[in-house]
Amino acid sequence: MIYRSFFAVGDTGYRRAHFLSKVVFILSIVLYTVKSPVKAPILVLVIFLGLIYPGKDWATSVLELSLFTGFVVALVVYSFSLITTGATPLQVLEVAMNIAGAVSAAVFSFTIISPAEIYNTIYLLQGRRAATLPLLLWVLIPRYLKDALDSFTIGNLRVEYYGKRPLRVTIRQLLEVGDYFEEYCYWRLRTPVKATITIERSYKYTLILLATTLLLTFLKYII
Amino acid sequence: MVPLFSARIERCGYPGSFELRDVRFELKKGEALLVTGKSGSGKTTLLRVVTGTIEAAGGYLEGEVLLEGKSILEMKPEEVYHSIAYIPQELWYAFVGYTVYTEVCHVLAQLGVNCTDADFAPLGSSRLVNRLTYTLSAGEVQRVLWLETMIKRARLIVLDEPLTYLDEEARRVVKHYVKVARSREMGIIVADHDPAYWEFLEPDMLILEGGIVKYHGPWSRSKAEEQGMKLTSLKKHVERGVFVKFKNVSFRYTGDSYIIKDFTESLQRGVLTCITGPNGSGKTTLLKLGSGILKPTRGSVERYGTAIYVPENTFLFFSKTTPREELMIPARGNENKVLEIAELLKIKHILDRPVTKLSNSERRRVSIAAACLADHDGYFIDEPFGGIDAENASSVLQAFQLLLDKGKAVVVATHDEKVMSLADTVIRLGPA
Repeated sequence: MIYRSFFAVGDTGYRRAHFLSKVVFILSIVLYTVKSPVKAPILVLVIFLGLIYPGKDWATSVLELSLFTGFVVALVVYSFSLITTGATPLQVLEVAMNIAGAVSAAVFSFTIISPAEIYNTIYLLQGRRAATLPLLLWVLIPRYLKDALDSFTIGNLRVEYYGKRPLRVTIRQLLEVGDYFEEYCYWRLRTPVKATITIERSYKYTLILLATTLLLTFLKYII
Repeated sequence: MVPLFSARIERCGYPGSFELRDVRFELKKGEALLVTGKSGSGKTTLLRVVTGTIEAAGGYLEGEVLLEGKSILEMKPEEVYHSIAYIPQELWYAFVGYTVYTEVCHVLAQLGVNCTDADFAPLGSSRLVNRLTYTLSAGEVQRVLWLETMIKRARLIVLDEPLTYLDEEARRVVKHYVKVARSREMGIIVADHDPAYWEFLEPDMLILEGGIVKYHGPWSRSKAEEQGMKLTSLKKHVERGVFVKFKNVSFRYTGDSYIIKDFTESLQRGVLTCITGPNGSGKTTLLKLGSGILKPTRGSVERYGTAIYVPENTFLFFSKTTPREELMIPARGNENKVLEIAELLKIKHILDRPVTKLSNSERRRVSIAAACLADHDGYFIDEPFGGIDAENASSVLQAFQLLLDKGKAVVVATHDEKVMSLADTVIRLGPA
């Protein structure tokens, strides 16, 4: 779910929207999430945007992740409320949907940020070696997630002898994978960059984000 | 004239572990050196010295390596990076960019150049440019790394078992690029346990055995054939019932198109089944579906018994820090069983060496040993002969023989024609 929501997208779709349109969009969604008492409309909006791009798979993953997180938090809140004020089912549902809305907003905002843009920003701030970090993180994290999943499922196949594969084993394996990157990219990681990465922009996705920003502003006033 | 590259190695290796001694060679512009030898003979250790990363790998060097008369360890990192192009055996860990576009642009940025569409033309496919790098097949990764090598105009190219994961088409691409590199007077150092492929290069040969130089001299076909892969034959087996049934199985990874489409097949017990096909055709995916690591997107997989999957990246298989500890568990503490399988797979001498210090071939054999001891009904093994020399490949085949004699299902993914010729059943995958 996490892998599909965050890392299954390359530099396409909304990542190609103009940098400023993304900044404005993220600011408006943060403001709405913080200020508005009803956050559920964001979930609907994000799923709709996700269906446009990257598509059904991504939208489904985000819906699952958001609702799962929302209901877990709501359950915790409800459990505490049993010994205090006692929340009604409607209030619990409201908490769940608001959390789901906030989570989907966070995921979408994260997804539209391009690591190449972060690279360019760090480069312009004179971070000539640090600029490589966001690129490397977006390689390492999904690889780690994929390898961790493989490691767990292989461990499950061996379950009659090992029991559940302990987390420390998977972590050790991931550290070893990290050693490979360190060795193979040793000189490259110590070489400064001297240029930005050209990012192709899309009018279509820029306009969609701007339109969504306007809609969020409108919703903030009527809700 | 100062040679392009020279090495004078008195000793190098890892503390308390493997050591390589008395290696000396020189390389002029446009020359090639083939480093060969059995698994664990020191090929990768030597390449680590050549690329200046032996200390980063926890090792040491007594001696010197010079690039055009200058010690690599005294050069600035960017000088080393731009001068030496390294294509490692585990290709996927050589990427910094999360897409092919950002990967190549990053290389260009380190040269002070902004990337343009024209830079990607040699890849031959615009669809590749926006692909996420961790979804690329081995052949696709190789093409990108070679593109970067040519962009950098490196003076020395170092290749570690470059053919391990490649199909015939991808190997032709490697051959093409190596010839281009030679024509541009780049020096080439290749490590390969099967040297016959490199005859077109007529490289000098450096044969290692047990950490010492057994031969260093001009190309010798007879010596290459000695090192090359000749597999012992397997006796033909009889099917002993269905182990896995695939019914109209289709599979795709999230956000990707179908890699397996409407696959219907039964895998039998008691026989060796090879799954083959071009890079990216779904061999690994099919193994994972058969063993239960993955669930099909459509269709069904019925399994009649327990299965184990041994991955290409053998690190993901291990749970313990040494082979002995790893093998003792499936052997249920029976040391005799451990020693028996270790003898068969020629890993007795490394039972107490940390897994992180084993060569690729040694790790592969340890994981196969552990799988064999666990007594599953079906074995799904990904590239079991990847990076393994002839002698050790034969011992792996003997281990398979034992499993087949017990009526187990053994299913391997490979693109090695020699292995396929020994299989009872071959399943060839094409594009979905």
